[in-house]
Amino acid sequence: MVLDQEVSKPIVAWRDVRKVYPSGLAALDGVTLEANAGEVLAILGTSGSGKTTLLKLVNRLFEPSSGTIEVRGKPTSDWDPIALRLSIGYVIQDVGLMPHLDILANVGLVLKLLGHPKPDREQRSQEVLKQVGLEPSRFAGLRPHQLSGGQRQRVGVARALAANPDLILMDEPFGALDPITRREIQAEFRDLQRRLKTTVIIVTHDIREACHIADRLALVDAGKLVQVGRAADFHDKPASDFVKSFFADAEAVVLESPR
Amino acid sequence: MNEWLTLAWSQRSELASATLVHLSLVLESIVLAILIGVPLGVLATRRKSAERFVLGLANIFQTIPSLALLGFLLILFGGTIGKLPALTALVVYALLPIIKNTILGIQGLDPNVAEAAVGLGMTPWQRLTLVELPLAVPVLLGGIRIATVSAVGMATIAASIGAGGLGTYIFRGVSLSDPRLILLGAIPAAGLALLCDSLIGLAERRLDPTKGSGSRRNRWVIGALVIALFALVLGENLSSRTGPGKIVIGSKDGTEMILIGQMLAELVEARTDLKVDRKFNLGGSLVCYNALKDGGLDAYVEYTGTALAAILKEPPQNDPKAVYDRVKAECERRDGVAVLDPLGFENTFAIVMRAKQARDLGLKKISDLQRHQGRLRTGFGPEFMSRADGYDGLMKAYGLSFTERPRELDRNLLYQAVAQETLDVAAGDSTDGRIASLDLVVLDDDRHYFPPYEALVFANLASLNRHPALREALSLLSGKIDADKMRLLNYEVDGKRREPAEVAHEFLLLNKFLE
Repeated sequence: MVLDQEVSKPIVAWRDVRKVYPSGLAALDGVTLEANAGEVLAILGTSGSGKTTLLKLVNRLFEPSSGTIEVRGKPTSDWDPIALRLSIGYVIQDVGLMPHLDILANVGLVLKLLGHPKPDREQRSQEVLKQVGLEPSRFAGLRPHQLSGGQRQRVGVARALAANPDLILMDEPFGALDPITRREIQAEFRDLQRRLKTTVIIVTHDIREACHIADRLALVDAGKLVQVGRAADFHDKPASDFVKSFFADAEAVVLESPR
Repeated sequence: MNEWLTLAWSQRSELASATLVHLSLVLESIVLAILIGVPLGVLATRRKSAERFVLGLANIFQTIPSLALLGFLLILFGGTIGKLPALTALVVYALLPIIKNTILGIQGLDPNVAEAAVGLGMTPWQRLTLVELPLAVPVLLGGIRIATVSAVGMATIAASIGAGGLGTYIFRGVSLSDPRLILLGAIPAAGLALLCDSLIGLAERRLDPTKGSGSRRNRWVIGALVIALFALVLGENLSSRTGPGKIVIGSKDGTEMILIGQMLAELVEARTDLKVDRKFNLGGSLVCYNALKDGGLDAYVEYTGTALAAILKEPPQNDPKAVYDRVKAECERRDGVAVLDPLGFENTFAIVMRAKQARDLGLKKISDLQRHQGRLRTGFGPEFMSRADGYDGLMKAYGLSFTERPRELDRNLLYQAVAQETLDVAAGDSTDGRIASLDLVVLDDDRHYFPPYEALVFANLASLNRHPALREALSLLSGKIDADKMRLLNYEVDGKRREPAEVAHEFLLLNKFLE
C-alpha cells in the first residue's frame, strides 16, 4: 500500500490554489490538480481562463495568493527559484531564443547555466538537435533569425530537453505555427515524449492539439477547474453544458479533417 | 584662404598636439561616463524610483549651462584649473545620453526573450550579463555616439579653464578678434566630431550582436581600433605630465595679458633652467588667482584695481600707491601670493565710442553723455556689470541713467559691436590696440571715477622662494613697459593680426632682454 503510494506520487500537485492579481482580478479560484510522472497533461481553456497562470505557478514565475503547489513532493515555496527552473524544461509560444547566440549555444544554454563544460554542452546540444529533426551540421552555426518559425520552435523544444529534465512546461508551444507545420511538430513531439517518458504539462486553447498530444486533459474556465480526465471522458460524460459546447466545436473540426 | 592654410601649416605641430589633448579629454570623459552611466542605467531599470531619480538628476545636469558648470566646478575643486574640472564637466554632460540609452536598450528587450531568460533559470546577474547588456549594445552605442559628438564640441570650452585642446585657438581667436584663429580651432573640432560620429556609427552597425556571420572579425577590428586610441591617449598623458621644475605661466583673456605672459615665459626659459607651460586665455581673475593660490599656476598678469575689487572684495580707492600697498600686503599675507613691482602702465576701464559719432555729437568727456542718454545704446562685459567699480558706480558718479537697458556681452566682442554700430557706448580697456585700429575714442574720465589699474605680475610665493632665479626673471619687466608701448604692442596683435608670441619675442629682442 505504502509502496503503491510512492509509485503514483504526482510530480506536480496544485492544492486549493488561488491567485488574485493586485488589480483584484481572481485568475484562479481554488484549483486542485495533479500531474503524474511520465504523462502529458494538457491544461485547456479559453483566453483569460487562468490556464497560463496555473502553469507559471509551477516554475515560480508567479506565486500563489493561497494554497500550495508541490513539485516532486516539495512545496514550490521551499524550492530555490533558480534551482527549480533549471530542473524544469520551459517552452513558450514565441520561443524566446537568444538572438545574439547561435543555434548550438541556444540549445546548450541551460547546460551552460548548470556549469557543464563547453565540449559536453556542444556534444549534448548536437544530440538533441538531431532528436528534434534539425541536422546539426546545417543549423548549429546559424542565428535564430535565419530559421523558419517551425525550425525555431524545434530549437525551443531542443533547448528544453537539453538538460534531460523529468518535467517540461509548455505554454501554447505550437500556437504561432501554420496548421501543417503544427501537426507535423505535434506528431513528432508526441513520439519523442513517448520514448523519453518525460512528464509534460502543456497549456493550449486548441482541443485538437490537446486530444492529439495529451494523456489527460484539464479544462479550466474562469479560474475554476471544470473537468479532468481522458479525452473520451469529456466526450462521453461532459461535466457541464460548458464542456459540451466547448467540445462540440472541436468535434466538428475533428470530424471534418481527414485523419 | 591661402593665407589661412599657411597659418595652419605654421601651427601644425601645436595644432596636432592640441587635437590630441582634445581627443584625449573626450575619450577619457566618455570612458568615465560609460563606467558611471551604464551601472546607473541598469539600476534605473531595476527600480522605478531609481529610474526617476537617476534620469531626473542627469536631466538637471544636462540643463546647467556649460560655463556655469565650469565655474561651479572650479569652486568645488578649490580653484584647481586644467584637466580635472574640465573632465568632470564633460562626464556630467555625457551621462544623460548614456544612461538614457542603457535604459532604452534594456527595456527594449524582446519580452519573449526576457521571459525565456527567467524561465530557463537565469539569475538576475546572468540575465544582465548574458542577455540584457549584450543585446543593448547597439542602442547603448547610439547613446555613446551622441555623448561623444557633443563632448567634442563641449571640450572646446575646457580651454577657458586651462585644460588645453582645440578650444585654445577659439578663445585666442575671440580675444584677438581673429577669425583665422577661431577657424584653426573650429575646423579640426568639427572634423573630429564627424570622425567620431561615423566611427561609432560604423561600430553600431557592425556590432549588432544579432547579426551572426563575420561579427567575430568585426569585433577584432573594432577592438584593435579602440586599443590604438587608448595607446594614443596614454601617450599624450605621459608626455604632458607636469614634471618637477616645470613653471606654469598663465593669463586671463586679453591681448596684453597674453603678450606679457609670453614675455614672462620666454624670460623664464632664457634666464633659468626651468621648463615653462603656457596656459593663456583662462576664464578670469578668479580662475587665475585661485589657481595661483593653489599652485596650479606660478605667475600671471593682474591689475591693482581688479585685485582690490574682484579678489579682496574691497571698495574702490583712487590713490594708486595706496591701492598697490593694500593689494601687495593682503595677497601675500592672506593667500601666499607674491605681488611684484608694477610693470609701468595702467589699463583702466575706458568708455569708448566711434570717433565719428563722438565728433558728430560733440562728446569728449563721460559727463557729456548725460545730454544723449536717451538714444545711446550701451554694452558692457559681465565683469563690468557686476563689479563695485563697474556699471552701478559709473551711473551714480556721473548721474547717468540710459533709457535703453545696457546689453551684456563678452568683453572682447564690445569693440567690434561699437565699430559695427550695434552699440554706441561700451566699456573697454584703455590700452586696447583695437581702440586705435577700429577708429574708436576714449571719453575722458573727468570725475576720476575709475580706480587705478596698474599692471603687475602676480606669482606663487612658494615657487619664488624655491627658485630665486624665477623671481629675478619675472621681475625683469617691472617699470619697463609704459602705456604707449603697451598700446603699440597691442596694436601689432589686434590691428596687424600678428602672433602674440612673435610680437613678444620681438619686443624682448629690441629692448635687449634677450640676445
